[in-house]
Amino acid sequence: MKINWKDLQKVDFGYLFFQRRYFLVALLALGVTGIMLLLVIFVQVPGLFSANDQRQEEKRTLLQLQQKINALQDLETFQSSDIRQKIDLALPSEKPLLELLSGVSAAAQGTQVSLAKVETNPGKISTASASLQSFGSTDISGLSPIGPTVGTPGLPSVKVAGVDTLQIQLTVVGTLPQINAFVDRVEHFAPITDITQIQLETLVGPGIPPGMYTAKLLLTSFYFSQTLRIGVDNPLPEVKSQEQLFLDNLNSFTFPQQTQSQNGIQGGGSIDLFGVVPVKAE
Amino acid sequence: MREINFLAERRKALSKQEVADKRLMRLSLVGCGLMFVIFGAMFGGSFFLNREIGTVRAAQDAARAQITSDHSTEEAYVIYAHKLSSLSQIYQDRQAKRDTIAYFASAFSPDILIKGLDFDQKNKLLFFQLQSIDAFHLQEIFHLVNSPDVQSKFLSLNPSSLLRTPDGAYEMSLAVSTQKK
Repeated sequence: MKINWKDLQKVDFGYLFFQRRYFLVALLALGVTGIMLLLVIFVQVPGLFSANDQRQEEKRTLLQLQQKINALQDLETFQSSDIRQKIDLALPSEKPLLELLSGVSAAAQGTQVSLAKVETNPGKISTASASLQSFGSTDISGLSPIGPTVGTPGLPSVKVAGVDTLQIQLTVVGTLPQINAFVDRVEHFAPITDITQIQLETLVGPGIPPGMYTAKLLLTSFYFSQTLRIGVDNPLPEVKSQEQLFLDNLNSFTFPQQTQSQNGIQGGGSIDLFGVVPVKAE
Repeated sequence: MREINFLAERRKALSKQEVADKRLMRLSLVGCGLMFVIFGAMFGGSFFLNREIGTVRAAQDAARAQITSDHSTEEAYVIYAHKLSSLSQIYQDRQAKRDTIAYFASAFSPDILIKGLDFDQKNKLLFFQLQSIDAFHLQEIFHLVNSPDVQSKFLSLNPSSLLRTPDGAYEMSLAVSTQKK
């Protein structure tokens, strides 16, 4: 509809406002009510719900933080606890080559198998993510029954259960029960080590008693090299039932003897270790 | 002289309209007032909630500061938990492998030798290298591997690479999944 402004000028607005002033006030009040209603419906009510949700969320976060504080208070003595040290020994944070070789040696002595050959690549420092090499099986014909020889085969590093692995290849000589016992011992010492390959060959030759076998074993030891991020708001990880089961079995493992770290220097001129009376030249 | 009010009817009509307008005004003002109260209450509620959020956030900051001061304990525990999780996983895989080896070691007769084992840790596959002294024992291996009882125990069970050695023995490979069915 087109508004004719000239006609509107003829309307006496003053008269109209005076006659219908209550009606106009009512209209104004209704307009204000309408605006407030719209604000309440579209702004305030959603804002109120949102603020309430946020308050609940913040309270939940606070509760989690308080639970974390309580949990951390319970863990005050954890750092020096025996269980933590055992876990560190079972899964060290660096390549456990020496510990592994020492464990293998102890297991061999304990089960009376002779270590014929040890092959490893201790110089390789890259992790599994860096590269993968193809594993070439080595010939065991060159084994020496006198003492172990150390070679450097291209043993691969593989990530298992999120941790890096260190593999060494062993050739042991012994009877089947001795080899079984050796395998059992190796799988029960720390650092945790798996035997992932076994190759048995009957050992025959002059002067070799019957029932002797050579077993070529691939030992996979594990070490933890992950970079972890700690978030203040993140809850502390919980020990699950499967992990508790492992903890229950942890005492069946053989742990290496803890070596006392050097914390001072002996000698250096301050103490005479040999007790030799100094001779003065005349 | 008698006065004649020509606008009497008009005045009456206006008065009626005025009364109606007044009623409408009262009602709308009451509505507006009520709406104002609701609006105020909402505003107050929103203010209260925001203030409470502020208080809770301040408490959170204090709690975070306390947690940060215990950072070394948290760090040690998180490393411990991750190590424990990995160890548990390795231990479970190993247990599954050992159970599988023990099962087949007891299932085969002494004339069937488990000559070699290879465990694929990534795919949880255990490869047996079996040696039987003659064809009859080889048949025993096939009979056992194909029996529904054994098949039902493992996720996959695949014999392969059959060969006859110069001394008349038979060798074959058996790939077994150590994952639970």
